[in-house]
Amino acid sequence: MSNLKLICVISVGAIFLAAACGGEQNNETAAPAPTPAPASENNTADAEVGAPARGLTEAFDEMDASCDQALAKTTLTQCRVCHSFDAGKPNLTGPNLFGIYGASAAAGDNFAYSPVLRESGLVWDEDTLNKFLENPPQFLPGNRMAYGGVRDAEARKSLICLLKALK
Amino acid sequence: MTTKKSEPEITHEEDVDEKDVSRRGFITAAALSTAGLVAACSGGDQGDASAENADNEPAPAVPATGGGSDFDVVVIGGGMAGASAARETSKAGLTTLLLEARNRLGGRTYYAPFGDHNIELGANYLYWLQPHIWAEVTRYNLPIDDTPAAVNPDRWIYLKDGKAVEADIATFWPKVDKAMTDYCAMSREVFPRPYDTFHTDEWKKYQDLTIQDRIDQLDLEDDVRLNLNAIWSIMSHAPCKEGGFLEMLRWWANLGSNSIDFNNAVSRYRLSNGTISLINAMLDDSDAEVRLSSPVSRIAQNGTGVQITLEDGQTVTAKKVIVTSPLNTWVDVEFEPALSEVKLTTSRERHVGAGNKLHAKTKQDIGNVFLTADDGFGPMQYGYTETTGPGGTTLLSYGLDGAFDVNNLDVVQNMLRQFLPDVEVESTYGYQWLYDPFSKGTWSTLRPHQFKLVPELQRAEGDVHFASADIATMWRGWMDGGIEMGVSTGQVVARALVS
Repeated sequence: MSNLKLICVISVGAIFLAAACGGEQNNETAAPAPTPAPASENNTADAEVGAPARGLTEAFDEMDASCDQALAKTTLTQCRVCHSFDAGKPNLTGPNLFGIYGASAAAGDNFAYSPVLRESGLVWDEDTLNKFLENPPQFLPGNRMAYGGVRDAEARKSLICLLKALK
Repeated sequence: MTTKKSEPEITHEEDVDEKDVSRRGFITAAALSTAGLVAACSGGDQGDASAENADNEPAPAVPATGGGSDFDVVVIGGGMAGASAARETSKAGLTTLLLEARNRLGGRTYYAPFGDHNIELGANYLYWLQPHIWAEVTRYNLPIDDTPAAVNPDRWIYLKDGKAVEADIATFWPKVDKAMTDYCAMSREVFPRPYDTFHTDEWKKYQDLTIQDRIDQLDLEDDVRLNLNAIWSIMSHAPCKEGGFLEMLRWWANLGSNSIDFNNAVSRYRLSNGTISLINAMLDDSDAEVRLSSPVSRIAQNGTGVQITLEDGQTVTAKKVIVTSPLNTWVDVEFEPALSEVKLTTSRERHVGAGNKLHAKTKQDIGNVFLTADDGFGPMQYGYTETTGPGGTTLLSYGLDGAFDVNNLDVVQNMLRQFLPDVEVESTYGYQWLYDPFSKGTWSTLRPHQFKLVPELQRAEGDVHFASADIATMWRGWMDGGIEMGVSTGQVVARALVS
């Protein structure tokens, strides 16, 4: 799309459920992590020397041993249709989800979150993620995620485990 | 693809002096636009305009803004209609901004990654009897995939009274084919010119009929009736008592009134590199700016131009606006002055297309199957094999229940087991368009009473034009219809501004 003048737009806000839709059309909208993990002296130094970005690979390596990694991987296939997960990767149809656990809802850059999510006051923790992921249109009517939810409790648990480690 | 910062920048509402907005006057720089049009007509792009200058003087640089407005044209929506409209106005030399609410282009097409491959989550099929999209295929030399399994099933299984029945295709298909042909028997009389649906008044005889009303007029065997219901319900993506008979009759007429072309058109040919390849081709062929994540909340006219307010309060001005967003969403934007009562009422009522679509992969090779059920069974009316082999079968399934849990493996497997008791599903995925506030449904099939309203739905209101696929004349509800509306409306706007 060499001629396409893609403007990175208007930002509104922040998180929702992450985003990565492989759409080449979205390559220009770089999305910083919604809420960067607290920077220790070490990781700040790493950043300065260009350390590789963290993302799903590290999250799978570091997720709690009690979590069902295989189930998380299977379930994630659906999420990856619309969301990106690695730090610094652009938003896709949905926002980038790196660092979403513990972040405020609708806190990411360069993404038009729904008014209802922006005004929700939610912070994404085990409880809010579990309720949202089970049935997004019912938990937060008017949100913009065109996804009916992950009904299986174990699948949700494994996903939340993964998101917890995605930082 | 390069990122270009918008110039001028969209302003925040609090920074806009209303008097200043009106002082800008929205006057077109006609000379510049004309130069651009000449360039376009001669096959050049805007940058070639200087070469066309009759006095051999260097042409003035084309400004980023058009006259007193930020842009000559703002196109709202980045699907087939929006991309084609933006291309037309841009190639006419008009500064054009395309605003897309989602953070992706495509509208109700969505070519997305799923596992190790890509799938079409929205509109999918095209055909050479769809003149507008096929012209684009030719123009941009886009490769086409053929999925013949969909029209050559080895097994046809349908649900009857909750039980799976396997048809003898050799004897059953001719009966269903005849029923479809009889259903559409008057297609050539009603639509002698499918591109001009109101060419005669014959349509008035049928304007009150639903799809089910027409099925009920035919003397059919129960199993044939059931399958006719399944076919037309899924084509309209709604229960047969909701969609207008004339809508499906128009499809038949568009295709030369025969089932071979009908079947080919609805389930066989698609773009090899995805629907996004055509969107990109059209926008690559233009100088239009594209801004994603830009939902529009207000469109206000003051007689000399249009001010568009985005959801976050930023504003942009244009001489003309082309609204290509879905009919069902018009009611969510504040128009000043208000839209006509017909437009508002129709948007509130919605068209009837609101079902589901899912891609499932089975563990076993289940062969080329065709699965049907009538509109009393919500999850699926029409399913078929796309590809099959030792590694399993990929199935595409369409149903009427837009809230069906298409992403739940167990639910989808249980649904498919009503047809194929031993099937094991490995993966499933569907984008739930009904939950997407920027679509609020799938493809457009109008209700019986909405058919006659199309001219009013298409009518421009001042400097605001309407070009959604949902209100197209010929291939309403299809990608072709989006391009029909985008190209024709883009040309209307270009002619008005350039002259």
